[in-house]
Amino acid sequence: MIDGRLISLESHDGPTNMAIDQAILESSSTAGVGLVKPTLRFYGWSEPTLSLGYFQGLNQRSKHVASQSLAAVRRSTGGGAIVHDRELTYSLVVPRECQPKLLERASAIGAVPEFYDAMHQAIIDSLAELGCRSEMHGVSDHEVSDHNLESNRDANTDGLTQERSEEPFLCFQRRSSWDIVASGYKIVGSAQRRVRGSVLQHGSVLLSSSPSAPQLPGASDLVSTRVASPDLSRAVVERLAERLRIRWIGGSLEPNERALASQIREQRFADAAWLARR
Amino acid sequence: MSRDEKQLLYAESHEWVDVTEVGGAKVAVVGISAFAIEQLNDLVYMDLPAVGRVLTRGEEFGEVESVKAVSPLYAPVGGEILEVHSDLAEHLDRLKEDPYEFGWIMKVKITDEDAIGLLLDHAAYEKQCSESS
Repeated sequence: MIDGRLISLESHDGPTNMAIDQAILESSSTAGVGLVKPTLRFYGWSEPTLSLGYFQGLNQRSKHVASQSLAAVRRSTGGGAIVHDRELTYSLVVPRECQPKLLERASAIGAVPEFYDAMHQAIIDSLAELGCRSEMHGVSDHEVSDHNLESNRDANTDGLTQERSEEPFLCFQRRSSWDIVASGYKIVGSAQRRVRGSVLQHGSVLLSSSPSAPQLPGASDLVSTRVASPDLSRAVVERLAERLRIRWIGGSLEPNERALASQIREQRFADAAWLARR
Repeated sequence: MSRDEKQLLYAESHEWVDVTEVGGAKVAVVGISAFAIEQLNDLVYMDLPAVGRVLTRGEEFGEVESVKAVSPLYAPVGGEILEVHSDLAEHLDRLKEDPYEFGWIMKVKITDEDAIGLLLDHAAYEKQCSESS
């Protein structure tokens, strides 16, 4: 068992949220051996925000009518666009130095499946505890029986566009391994970024449908009880501690991380040119 | 004729380097190894650097999006980028089939020749891969 830092639920605007995740990742990849711990952070959004996947074109958003008035930010992670509104968002940063203690084999490049498995199983168990049954989408992309995909076909005729590789614009209308689905709807999606071996994984749990993406139901829309962020985050902390063997201890950002986050926010995530770079 | 992977040098961060001589200058042809491509699984996007950019060893020069992860690429040597394989980003499917010939990413006029000595030979790189994968 190793110690990890837990940053409790807080809300910020899109650029700040993305900058904090990036600052934790970059700090963890430059600090010396033994100076860093895994960090688990939960957050909300101070206003409904559309986040674009790192490689998505800004012009693609004009095709998604319902989210056009929202503030926008470009994530550092890939995948499709997300309407962050009535959701619980998490980030997990695991420094390179910690990985040998948590993984049988640590690779320096590409996705780390173990972190997807651990976090998503923790979320599935937590949702079940709160009355929402869900499961991991284990099959590769584009399984056709899922409801989001059916609603996606409807939405496409209503103005959604298909990007390169015929991928839907919205993350929650795509399917890939480790996605969590409930009653055929994707309700949890995550993505990773690597920096010098360290890993950032962040993801969204849809709690209920947003007016800016009405075709996507959240967990509370699919069951008779309300799934609330504080209950869900509390449950996930416990489950993830068991799965990763990390003792989560409440903490906050270090001064150097705050300063770096502020700098990254201005230079990258709040910068109009960076948003429009593709 | 395809490059022989056993004759190439490698960075710990999985870039391969073919050091050539052009007009008396040392030029590194750079790509990413078959092992890395395998680890990355299906590549969907690649960001390439601009010609003329001057890199320092270890600097991030590009990024790849694979299934479920974005990963940076790091310069194995320092120098000026002379040429970039501009077709590559549109044909990532071919990277897996031919990582050492079609898969070259950029050619760099090496300014820090000492860095060449820090790269791994094929045997050392294979050992690193077998320990970390």
